[in-house]
Amino acid sequence: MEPSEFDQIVRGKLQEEHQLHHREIDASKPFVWAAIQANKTLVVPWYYLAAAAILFLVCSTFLFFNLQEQNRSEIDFLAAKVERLKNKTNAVEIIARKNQQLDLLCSEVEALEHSLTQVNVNPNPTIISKQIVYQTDTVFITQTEYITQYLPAIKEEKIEEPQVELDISADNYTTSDLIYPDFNPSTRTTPKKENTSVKVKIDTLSSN
Amino acid sequence: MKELILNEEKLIERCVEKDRHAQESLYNQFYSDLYLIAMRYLSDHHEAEDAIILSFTKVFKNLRKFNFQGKGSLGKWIRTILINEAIRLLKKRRQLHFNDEVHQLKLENSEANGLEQMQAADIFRMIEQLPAGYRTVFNLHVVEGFSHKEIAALLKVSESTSKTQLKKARNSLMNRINQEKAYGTV
Repeated sequence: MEPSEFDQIVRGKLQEEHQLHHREIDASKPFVWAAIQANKTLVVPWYYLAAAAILFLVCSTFLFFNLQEQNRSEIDFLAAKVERLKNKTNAVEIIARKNQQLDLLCSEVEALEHSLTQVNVNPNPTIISKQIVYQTDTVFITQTEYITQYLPAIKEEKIEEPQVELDISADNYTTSDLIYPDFNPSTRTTPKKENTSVKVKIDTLSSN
Repeated sequence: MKELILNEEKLIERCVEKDRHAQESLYNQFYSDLYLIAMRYLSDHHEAEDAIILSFTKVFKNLRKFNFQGKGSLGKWIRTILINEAIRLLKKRRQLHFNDEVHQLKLENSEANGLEQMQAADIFRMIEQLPAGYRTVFNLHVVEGFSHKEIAALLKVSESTSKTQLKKARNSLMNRINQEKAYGTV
């Protein structure tokens, strides 16, 4: 048999009706159709895509602006907080300075209280020495008693003032001084200098 | 009640308009033939189904581009798509092996009567049982009417390979026919 004859017979046989695979064909037909339906690619018109793209752009822009606004408000809020914290720090510093001043004042008050208690303890001035000077007058005899007293300094500033040493010893007085106490003021002790020591004149023997 | 669309051109138009009923009608019209063709090339039920699914998806997608040239042109176009898909699947699954050994082959049984007496289903089954390379070239040349040049271009083999594969396919098929005749099954 010629190959062409063989091919022709086979081709003719294959075009004949036959029942081969008819069961498989009937069974698989609905499933294959369902699979084709599921496998179909969705064809979206270009204007749908364009509309979707524009919508997406608008939405994303809106979202972006919203986020930016939110960030800005958050930054403002944080800046305000930072400013408030800075102010609080200043207030703390002021309070600390005031506390220091208060401490200083307290210590001063304590010192003053201490000095006052000392004054209260010694209410009477301390007598350092006692001298009796007799004055002879032509008519009257006057006895003057000078008492040197210690006066405690109340304020420290007063201590710093120049202190005049008063010579209160009886040896420095001449007879004329004793007779005429007001005659030579340069050599005389002025009882007016009462800053540190005071001479009190007591006329115990004075008449009239 | 489903309308029977007999006019092929009208069927195509309605399929292009995404008419589901028309598409189903087209599918029903060609499914059996396509299944048998797919089985002839792939000889596997599931692979045949896969090839049909892929083919119909392509058909519905590209039907707008199809140029109707009279009755039967649509069927030929769909069959060509299916054959291409089947060959693509065979290549993808590395089932196509071509042995280029050239032997002096001649048809052992020179009697045409034996072949003519055979049932179509038996010949069909015998073709399905051929190796993939033989089966493909035999189907393309004998059934579809492709030339060796076209087969060589389609399968990306030489023309001599196509000729050799065809001769081997014929010889193998004839041997099977003789064997079955000898056992008395035919």
